[in-house]
Amino acid sequence: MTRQSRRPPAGRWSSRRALIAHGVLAIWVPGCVLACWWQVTIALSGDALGWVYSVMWPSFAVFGVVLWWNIVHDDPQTVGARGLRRLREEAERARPVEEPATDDAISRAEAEDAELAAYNAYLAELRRRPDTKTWRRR
Amino acid sequence: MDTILVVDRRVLVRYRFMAYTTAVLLIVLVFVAIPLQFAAGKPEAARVVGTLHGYLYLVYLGVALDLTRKLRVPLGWMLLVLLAGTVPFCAFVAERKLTKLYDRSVAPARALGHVVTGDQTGR
Repeated sequence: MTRQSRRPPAGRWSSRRALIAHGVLAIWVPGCVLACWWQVTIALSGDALGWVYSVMWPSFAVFGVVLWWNIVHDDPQTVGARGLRRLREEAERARPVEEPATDDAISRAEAEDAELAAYNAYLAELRRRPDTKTWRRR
Repeated sequence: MDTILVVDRRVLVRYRFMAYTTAVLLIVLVFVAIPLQFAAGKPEAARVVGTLHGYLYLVYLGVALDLTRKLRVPLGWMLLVLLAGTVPFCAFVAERKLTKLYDRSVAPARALGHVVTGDQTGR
């Protein structure tokens, strides 16, 4: 498949997206550690609910690391709305464009009327174009 | 071979299950247990429901991350979906939106006979 053979992005660790992720993570993890410590002190001072949150905050930190790892390793061209659009376009190209059935009456009418022929060509072009705006649910 | 989005329906179903569970618990917590704690002076309910919602929210985070990544939800929306588990009623909205997104993107791809590859993220 074409998608798997794509090379990973060159600046994986230094792209703008990755740098933002590094920055957020650098704030997030120490923040979670501090919050955990704060909850431990609350728990030690007698409120048992503090133990629950002193488990919760490290979990949030781990979750942040997982998210960060995914952000850094995903090729932005294959994830998110961009990825979906690209996949759709690839699929559209892979599907053979079906030729409209030749109807004698239609071709005769088109031969007589240049304007009609041009309009039909325009409609065919619209049909071929992917992602044309439509009210219909896809 | 064309590659199109295919996401296992079980990924959606377990997200929906967790979304409903955390949403209902959060509503009970905010509109029943916490008023009981402060108005009636009975903190036990808030303690139990709060703890339960806390741990279940962790599970919600896991399944929501899984689904949003496989559905290729943009990052900002993904974060909103994750946060929806902490705001009353928002998890219901997120659940509706993701289910609609799933139906709109996965089902038509399947009907066209495409191979769906939600697990491949282009590493």
